[in-house]
Amino acid sequence: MNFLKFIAKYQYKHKMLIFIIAVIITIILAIGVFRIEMETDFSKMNPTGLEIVELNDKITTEFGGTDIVIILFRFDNNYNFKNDNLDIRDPEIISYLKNLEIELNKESSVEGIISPATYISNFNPQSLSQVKYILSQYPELNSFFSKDFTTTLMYITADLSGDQEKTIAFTEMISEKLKFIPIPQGIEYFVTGSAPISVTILDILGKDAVKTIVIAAIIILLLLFITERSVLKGIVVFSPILLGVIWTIGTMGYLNIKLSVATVGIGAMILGLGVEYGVFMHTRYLEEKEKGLSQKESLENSVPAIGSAILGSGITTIIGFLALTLSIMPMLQDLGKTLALGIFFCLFIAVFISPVIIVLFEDLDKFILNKMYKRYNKKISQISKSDLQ
Amino acid sequence: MKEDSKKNNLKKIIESYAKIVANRPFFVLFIVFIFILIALYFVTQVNYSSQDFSEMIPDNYDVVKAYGIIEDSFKNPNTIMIFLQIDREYITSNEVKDIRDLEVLKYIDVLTKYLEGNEFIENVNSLSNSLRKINNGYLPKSKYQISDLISENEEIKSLVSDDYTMSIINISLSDQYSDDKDSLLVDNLEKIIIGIKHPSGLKINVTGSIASYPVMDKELGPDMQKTGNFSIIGIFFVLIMIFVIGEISIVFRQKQSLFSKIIKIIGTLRFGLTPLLTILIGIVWTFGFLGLIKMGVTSVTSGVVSMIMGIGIDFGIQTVIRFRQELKNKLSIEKAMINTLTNVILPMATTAIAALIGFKAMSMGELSFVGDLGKIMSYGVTFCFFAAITIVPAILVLLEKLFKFLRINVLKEKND
Repeated sequence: MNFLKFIAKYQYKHKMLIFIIAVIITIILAIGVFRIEMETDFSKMNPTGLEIVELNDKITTEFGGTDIVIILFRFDNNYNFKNDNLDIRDPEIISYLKNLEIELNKESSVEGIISPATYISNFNPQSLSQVKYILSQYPELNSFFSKDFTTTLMYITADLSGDQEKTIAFTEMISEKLKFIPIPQGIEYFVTGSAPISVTILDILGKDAVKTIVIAAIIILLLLFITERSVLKGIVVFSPILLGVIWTIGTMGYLNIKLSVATVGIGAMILGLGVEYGVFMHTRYLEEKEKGLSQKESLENSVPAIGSAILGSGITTIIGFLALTLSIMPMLQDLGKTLALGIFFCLFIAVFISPVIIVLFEDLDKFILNKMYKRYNKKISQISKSDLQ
Repeated sequence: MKEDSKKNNLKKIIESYAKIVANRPFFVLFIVFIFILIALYFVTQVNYSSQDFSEMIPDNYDVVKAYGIIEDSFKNPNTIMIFLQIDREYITSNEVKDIRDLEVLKYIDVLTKYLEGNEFIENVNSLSNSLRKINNGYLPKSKYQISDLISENEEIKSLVSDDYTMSIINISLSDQYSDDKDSLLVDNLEKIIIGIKHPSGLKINVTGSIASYPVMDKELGPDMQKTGNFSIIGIFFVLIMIFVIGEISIVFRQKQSLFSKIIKIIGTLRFGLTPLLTILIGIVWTFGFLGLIKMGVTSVTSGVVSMIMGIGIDFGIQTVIRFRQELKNKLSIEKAMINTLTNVILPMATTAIAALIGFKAMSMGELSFVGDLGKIMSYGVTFCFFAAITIVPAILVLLEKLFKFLRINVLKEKND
């Protein structure tokens, strides 16, 4: 209590200094926001300490990478075919697959490619019936075709080791090759598999992180405008939480904690959870002001009273989140760490910086009002002077 | 004016509710217990399952569409593996030391035949059947021949490790297999492995992502329990620090008999322990609700218990702190509770709504995991809020009455 009272006195005396330090820390941590990376290596999200997971890792190390790209080729439903008897086993398509295989094999990142053409093209078939004959001799090759022979698959393997840049480069390379080799008319393709799914998740992660923060920020800001019945007061309560989000994500960037499917929503969560500390501090300060107390006295009463209360509730929240670091799931461990960090920052900002922001905004408000009042008085005196003249 | 009357109406509603809780705590407890019983029934219906990462992406993405086509049009794309390795613990004895050992190959051959006979298995790619393919259908007769054939064929080489201490058997699954049968499949494979006598010094395991899912599912419950236990113990200590430790120092500074001091300290425990009801009941209601709406807990949402505890306890703490403050104003127990609830419900509802907004924003993302986590957290925070304004105040009123009764009677007896 005494410590918080001392803090309140210090805050009042050195409000500009504290504000400038907060701005500098925010700028430094805001740079860290741009350093944040996305986690796309799903193997790093698997539980730790389980024998089966360790075995899977061992197999990946000993028997090569398991990153797979599957290219699915099928007849385009929107294409106007002259012939109704469509068969993906057509020698022209087999030849196309072989050419694509040759082109892809030129790339060092490709570890292996398997498609029906890998085997069938060895016999150089010239007609569909010849392909059918080959398949009758090697029935296991039928697994490359759908039951109605309208779709076929090509499997490409690589060891990308969960590297974000390698994964993007690999999927882009495949897209380039697909564009490079002229595809038979009426055939469309889809690319899937673990590597393209990683890239898609990576893409969604970035969008989701921004989208959820923006939506949460707008709604919470509106809620604060309504509950505080003032735009300025709403901003006063909201600005410390925004700092909390920037500090948290910036620290993640510096500590190399990657944004994963688990931590993508932390911005929105911190905004939702951190708002209460700011609301309590601001409300209590206004209560003290309404009693007719000065800025200094209001701070000296509100900071110790609310500071001790929110420290208690904040610490329990941090403990709840830190408990996740004991989980066997690494992504839950990361979620626990980042949320605990976020709540810690929100608490710190609410107790040490928020009161300064409240007082400075109040001063600013007073300054603007005074200026407007002076201008108004000046105009009134000018009007009355002209009236007199 | 209109706004003021609205505010007054809301205050009146809250005050009426506060009066019910303060004056009829047993009635409130009865209602709460009915909901607890219903929730406990549905808690048993919550299922725990691990989640495939491809399931997290919305269906409108091409990568997911293509996956769907493959699943619909092709034979089952799922695979599982059997991993064989030389057990290093036996390295100094006379056990097998090389995967190319004829004894090992014969074992793999028998295992392959048994595997091929299983209903869930479409195709088996093992060292033995690959060697048979290139050796006119026969197994090689010596380690030397095995080594020769392996070194000649790249495809077979991919089935053994570079130091020849490990080998894998790749198994393609048939249409009989579906995602809900992963435990059954793994059980079947383990039974086959146990049923065939394997060479000493050889260790055999079923692996691959499909084999991992049942293991992870089994770990989900204990993992949730572990993080939940840590959370509740940590929160308990903080509550003791807030409500009990400070009080002890005050009590011991007062000039009272030791007996009175002990009674007072025991009394403070009621404030330290009651907030825990918020999270205990809140969690039961949340999981009961999850069971009711048939929403399962996945490997990635299993952290919600400790998160809900950390967030939900705030409501309980606020109610208890305010009740204690009101009691210090020398009000009656009922009046203190009416004042407490009238003053805490609205700010608690505001902070709960702000938290719900944050969680709702999470479910507006495209990744389903984030949305599911947000949804479960929303339910958790809402139910903790309700627990903090129902069971917590009702228990506080009853405990305060009991404590008052005990204090009067025990002190009276002592004085007599």
